[in-house]
Amino acid sequence: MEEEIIRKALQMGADYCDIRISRASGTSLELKDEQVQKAIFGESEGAGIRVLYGGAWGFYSTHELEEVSLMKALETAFKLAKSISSIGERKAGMADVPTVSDTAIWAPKKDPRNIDMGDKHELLRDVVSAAREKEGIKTVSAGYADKTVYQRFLNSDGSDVRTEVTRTYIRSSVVAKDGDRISSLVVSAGGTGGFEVFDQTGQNPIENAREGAESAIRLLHAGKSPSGKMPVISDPDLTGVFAHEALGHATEADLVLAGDSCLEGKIGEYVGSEVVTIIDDPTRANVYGSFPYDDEGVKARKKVLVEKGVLKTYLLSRETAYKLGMEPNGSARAESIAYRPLVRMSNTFIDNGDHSFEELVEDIKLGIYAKGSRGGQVDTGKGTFQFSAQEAFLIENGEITKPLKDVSFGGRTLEILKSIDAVGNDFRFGHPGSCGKGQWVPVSDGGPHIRIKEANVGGA
Amino acid sequence: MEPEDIIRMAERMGADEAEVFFLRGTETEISVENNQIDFGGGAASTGYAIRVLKDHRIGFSYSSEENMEKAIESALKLSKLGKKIDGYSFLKDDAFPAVEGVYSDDVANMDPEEALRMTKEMFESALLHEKMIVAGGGLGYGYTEYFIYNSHGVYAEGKESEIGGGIYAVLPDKTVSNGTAVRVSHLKDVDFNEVGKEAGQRALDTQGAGKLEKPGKMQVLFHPKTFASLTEYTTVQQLYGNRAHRGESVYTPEMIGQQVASGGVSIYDDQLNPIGLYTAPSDDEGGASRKLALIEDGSLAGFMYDSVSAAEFGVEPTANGMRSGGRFKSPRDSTPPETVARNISLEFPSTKDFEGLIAEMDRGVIVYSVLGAHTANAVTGDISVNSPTLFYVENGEIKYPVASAMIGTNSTELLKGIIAVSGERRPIDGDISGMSFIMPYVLIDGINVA
Repeated sequence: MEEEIIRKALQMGADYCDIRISRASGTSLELKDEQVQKAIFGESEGAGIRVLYGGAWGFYSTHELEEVSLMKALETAFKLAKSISSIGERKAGMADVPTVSDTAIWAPKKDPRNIDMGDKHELLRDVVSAAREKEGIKTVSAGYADKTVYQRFLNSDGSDVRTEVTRTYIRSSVVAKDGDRISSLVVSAGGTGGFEVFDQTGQNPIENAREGAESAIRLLHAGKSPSGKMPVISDPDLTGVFAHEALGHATEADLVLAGDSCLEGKIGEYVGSEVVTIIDDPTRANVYGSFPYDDEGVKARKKVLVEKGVLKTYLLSRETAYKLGMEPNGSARAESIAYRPLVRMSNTFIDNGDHSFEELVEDIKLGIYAKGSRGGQVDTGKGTFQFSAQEAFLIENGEITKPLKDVSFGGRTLEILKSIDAVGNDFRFGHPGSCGKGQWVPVSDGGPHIRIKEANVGGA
Repeated sequence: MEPEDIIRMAERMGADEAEVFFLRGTETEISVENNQIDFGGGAASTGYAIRVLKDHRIGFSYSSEENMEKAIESALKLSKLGKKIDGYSFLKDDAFPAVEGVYSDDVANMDPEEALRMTKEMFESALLHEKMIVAGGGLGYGYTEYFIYNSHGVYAEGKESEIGGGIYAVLPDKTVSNGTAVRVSHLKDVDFNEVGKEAGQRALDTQGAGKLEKPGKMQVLFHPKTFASLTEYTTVQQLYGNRAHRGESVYTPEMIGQQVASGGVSIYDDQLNPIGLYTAPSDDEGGASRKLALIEDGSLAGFMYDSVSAAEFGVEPTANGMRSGGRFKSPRDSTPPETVARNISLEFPSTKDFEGLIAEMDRGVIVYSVLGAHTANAVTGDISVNSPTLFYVENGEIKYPVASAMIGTNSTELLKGIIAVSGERRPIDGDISGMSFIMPYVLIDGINVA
């Protein structure tokens, strides 16, 4: 059937066509304190068909996999592409890649499809109890989700790729209260795979919830942050968020093409200090943002984005590589078959350095140790960012002293990258999550502790 | 399968009560990127959601028609984990108001060629300067229809069409400035060339934006979209019944009747207003739609409830049981209903036109957009946002564009400070899916702008 769609598209005159057919199933569970708020089982299937004609794209998706529905989807996609190509010279195309036939089934070791919902419930209850052990914790909510997606990708170049990936994830949020003081915190754990993902360093949901609760309690009585220019030490979680948000997005080729990246035209140039190497790697076993092939059927690979301070490449799909005259590197991802692939990150991190945490801190007279992220803003075009830390501490004379609340830090991405003067040797991945760009895809980020010589620090 | 057959199957399999929700729709979009149209896309979606009630506990699953039996079986299994809600029953409303003016074949079945022409004209209307770039935007249209059926014989159905267009224009001239405009409607009654022009004009007008010379307390005129965003993450959340009853809101049920906004200000969930984007005969669980008063003439009037939260707190549901997820690509058949506002509408007894509102201002700013509205504290209503698009106004005249300013306020302070609104009210899609607004320009006094 899928082959028939491709044949038909070429008969109609398409320059290129691909089809993604998927079957997904999953469960999710939400707990607020001890009560189950939601328990969901779901299955869905569908297909997305993409057609290139005369330099224009048409795309259509459907949840119905009968021949008549697929043919209708193809006709609609073709009609859209043809109409658009008729309004003038269009420039869309696909960069060449070798064709591939492969099957990559990432079978989970502890498959959530074979784990009873009661056991998932029990694990989530343990997460909630761990957070509640601390006195002062008022409410704890926790969510569990697993999802397995089988997908077949077929295109008119002759590629045929079948993949199956399972992801398992737990998130918890705690609220602490003491009189009028309230603080809250969110932590998560997960990866590609089944329950074995929780055995990885930093991905134990029970320990994470316990640590989250401890942080929330500390935040209740944290003091105000000093503001101004000063050194900042960022923990692996916040380092990861910086790598993803400030640098990673600016390497996305579609943003570069749209004139919305501060890294446009900078390949081969120093964009950071020589101790900084930034990598996007979807091939790491069990990490949340990993995948075997991208949604254009290109094998996933490790990309060194910045090597010792020098910008080496962008994240590229076949579509964007064509426009930039570069080589695709397997970075096209779609939320589901209902979306067209866009250029996206996977697991983005700053690579390990050789300093111990103590070495990073010891020379700092007055500075900030910032942990985790509560969110923030990034302007990839102007190259500016501002993050709020989940939790922070004051550094005085080389020692971590009192806890601080509502600490934010920001600046110009390229200045901050150049201002990183030491990188720790304690790499780990941070809290996994979803990255939104009109579509949501699972991603992870991380790094070691890093020292920024000077950043703009602000308090609320 | 007929809806009755699904319900009977669930009952045979052991459900005390069952409910089926069905959603179907199509969507087409034409995108503009970097002054180019080179992508058109669309989707057709269908799906079923099943809820069962067994031993006073609810189970939920979603599926396609072929896998209905497995879906019911899973829902029954999951119901064992659900919380026990004594006295709970699926809804029994049997009369649904007629809704007109929310569906048009002209929108639902529009020819892509016509959409393409409209998109091209819209983005070309933004090119008011030779260096102007339409960095992003496009036009989307489609329809959705739903039905809901349950063991009590309740049957509700609805159908709506929607067309929306937006433009993000960037002008890299003396400085880099930008402008955004968005409009959406059920019917083909929006001039999308005006959307292009508005975005382009804003980018032109904000060229050379400078510093706010005299920060401090002043009047703020909020664009409808901006006021909607600030409300979405604060006041709307605070008016959800479950939050109010649990102490997670500045409002409590005991405060009904108390003054919470400036005199004359009313906020409704106007579920039957034809311009509202979530107008339908019922909510997503078969509750009959209505115009629900939340704040009336400045006083707290009520809260929003879905059927479960209403049962928990011993009150009547208010047709706010909505399923999250969008109407199209992440269809809302994949989550169970929970309390979500539908068409939040701000009303004020007297109105002015836009110029009239400016004339009213002795010192203040017009705020066209804010960043970080989602970081507001839903419980306390504290808001700290940055606006990248605003103008300084003095003695009733627009003086100069401002590059960036911080606005620090609180949702209750906003409601108590309202002094005037515009007569024009626009439908606005919320950021949180399943929620929309019918919002005027809103002029508020005494806001800290720095």
